[in-house]
Amino acid sequence: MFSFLNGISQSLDAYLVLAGLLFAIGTFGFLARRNAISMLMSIELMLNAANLAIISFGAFSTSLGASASVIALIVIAAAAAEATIGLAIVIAIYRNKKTPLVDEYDAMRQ
Amino acid sequence: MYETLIPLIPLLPILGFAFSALFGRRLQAKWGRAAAEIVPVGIVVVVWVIAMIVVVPALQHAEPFGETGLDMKLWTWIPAGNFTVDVGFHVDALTAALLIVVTTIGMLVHIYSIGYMAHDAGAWRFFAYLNLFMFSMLLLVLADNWLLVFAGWELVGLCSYLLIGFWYQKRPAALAAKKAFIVNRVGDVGFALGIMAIWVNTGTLNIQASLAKLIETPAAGLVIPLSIIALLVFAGAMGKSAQFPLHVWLPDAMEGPTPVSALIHAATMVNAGVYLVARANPLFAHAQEVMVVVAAIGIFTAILAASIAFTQTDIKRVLAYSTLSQLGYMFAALGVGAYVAAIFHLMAHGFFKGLLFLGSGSVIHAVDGEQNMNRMGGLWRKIPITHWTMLIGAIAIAGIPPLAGFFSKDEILGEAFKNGFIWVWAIGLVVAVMTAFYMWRLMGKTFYGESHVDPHVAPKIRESAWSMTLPLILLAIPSVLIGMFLGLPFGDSRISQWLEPVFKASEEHLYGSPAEFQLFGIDGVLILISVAAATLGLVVGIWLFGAFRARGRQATVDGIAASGPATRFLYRASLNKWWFDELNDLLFIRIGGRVAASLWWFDRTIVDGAVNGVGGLTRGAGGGLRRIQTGRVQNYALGIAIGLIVMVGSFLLIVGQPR
Repeated sequence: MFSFLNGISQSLDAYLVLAGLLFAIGTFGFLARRNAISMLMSIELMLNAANLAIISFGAFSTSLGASASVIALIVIAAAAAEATIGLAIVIAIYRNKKTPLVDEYDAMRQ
Repeated sequence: MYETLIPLIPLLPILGFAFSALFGRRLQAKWGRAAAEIVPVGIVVVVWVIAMIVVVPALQHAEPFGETGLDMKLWTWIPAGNFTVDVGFHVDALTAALLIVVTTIGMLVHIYSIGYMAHDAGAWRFFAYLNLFMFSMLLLVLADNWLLVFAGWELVGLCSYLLIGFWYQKRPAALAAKKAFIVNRVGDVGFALGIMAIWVNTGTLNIQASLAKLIETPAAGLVIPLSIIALLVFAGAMGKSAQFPLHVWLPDAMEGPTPVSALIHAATMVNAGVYLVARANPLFAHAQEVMVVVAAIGIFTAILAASIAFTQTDIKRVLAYSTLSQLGYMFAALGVGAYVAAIFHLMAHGFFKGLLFLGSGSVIHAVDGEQNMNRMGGLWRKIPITHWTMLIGAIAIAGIPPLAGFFSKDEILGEAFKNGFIWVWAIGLVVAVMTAFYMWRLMGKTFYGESHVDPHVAPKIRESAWSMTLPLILLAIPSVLIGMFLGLPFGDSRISQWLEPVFKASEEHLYGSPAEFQLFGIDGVLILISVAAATLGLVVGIWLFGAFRARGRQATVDGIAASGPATRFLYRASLNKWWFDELNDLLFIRIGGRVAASLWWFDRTIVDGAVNGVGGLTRGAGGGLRRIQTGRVQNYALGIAIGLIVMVGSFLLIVGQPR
């Protein structure tokens, strides 16, 4: 039923290219977006790109095998914790600064 | 016994100094000058007695001194790895000869100062300084290592400074003190470098050990050649003994009180340079090219100073130039290898020049502080003791037998001739004529002829107090006798027997065994020539400046001085001291000042500029780099991203593609 997928799924490169594109999009978002929330979302995108790469390696490499899934799970857990703390910080700053735009957040300069 | 007596010789004066410095002022305020004077003067008398107890066996090479002298170590002064310096004394015949001069004249000058300083509120300070000087000079003479000699050397320089500037309210005195100190520093730098060079070569600062090692080591084994060391040590001697071109400080030093001029600037401190070269005689004997330098500078100073003494009118300055001239004689003697003659002249000169200076002080006291000889004259009846003692001093320095100066001066001239330094002998003979002449000029202008004394002062002229005349008489006795005592019999005199162990090795290295003395041969002729020279000077002096009732011929003197362009030039050159002060002013104040100013500019702009530039660069770089710390998260994130790309990219480039 999914045989039309065979030609594609046989190649590790395709997955890595996809993961690279996802990572690039995330990086671009993190650097270019001024909104703190968008930046957090971009981080999630990058983490997911990393996860995709790990899972792909796991599928194609017998020595890594199921361990890849475990690593991906740990990354997801870390990403969840990071998103929680990141959002909390953004909200705390927002309450002080009344703005979600990070280029206003320059208190560390002093 | 000697191990306890010798340390007391320098110890007592320093205790006397401490006592006078701490309590002198209060004692003088409460009980008068006598209370402040009794301790310092008493101490010097005790030191003289102790010194005589030590000197007699040391000169006769008796036990425990022997021919090599007594070495005694008191304690280790500086223990620093392989550099150790002891405080120790070395007493041999040379030390003993200096001890005689220093303690005897020191004691008489202390006694004389009681009378001379009778009206000075700072007497306690004066005696404190004198005691400090005695300590320093005795330390210099007794020390057994170079560093201790150097300590004494600098201390006598300090005392000289303090005592020249004793009347510091007088501007010329303060300036003269500064001049003496600074000119001495020039020589002292040389001496200090010489000591360092000795240590580098031998690894020890002990005088006897280092000298022995220096002359044993073959020339190739020396880090610094002997001639350089000898020149450096001689530079120190030139400064302290005021030899050309460092002679300019000594005449100015006459601004100090007269007892100081007698003690420090005639009889003891200025002899330190002669002592130093004599002490280092093995070094000089093995660097013969330096000995020629010593002889040349000595004899040149002798004739230069004698020519200046011709026209000076300040009685003390005439004596100062005479001192320079006689010191030049001593260095000439050291340079031609006549070490014994040099020390002989040092001792004889110490006594008769001390006498002449103390006598001039007595004259100055009598005429109420006047020092210009043109305002003296006819004093011989009014101050007879001063006159007769000074007459003895003048004849002694002129070199008329059988007084002291004849024996020592003749020995120098004779040795110079016999050792092949005919030019030293010839110039020395001219200087002998000049010496006799200007000494009689001093006597004639001061004591004989008409009185030119201020009419207000003339009736008040009195002979000085006993404390001043007694030292004059006590110094006149050795001025007459010491030459005969030390200088006879010819050829194997007492002083050469005493000092032979110190100098024998060097003399034999230079000239082999000395020739037999021939009274009816070469030596007799030389004696006759030097006596004739002295007599010639005296006769011309008496003819021009008079004696007793005989009038001088001042008109003739003025006529000669103005007779032609050459004599006019010589007269002006002598009067202006050959313009050495002006030359120094030009070289070191004007030109030296310019050089210093340009160096200051260099320091300010280049050196300071470099230092400030480094600081400014750091500040500027910091200020620039500060800008990249924007505090904006995304700028940092961009940095991280670029860094990541660079790292991964370079990894791929260097390691290459996988597979």
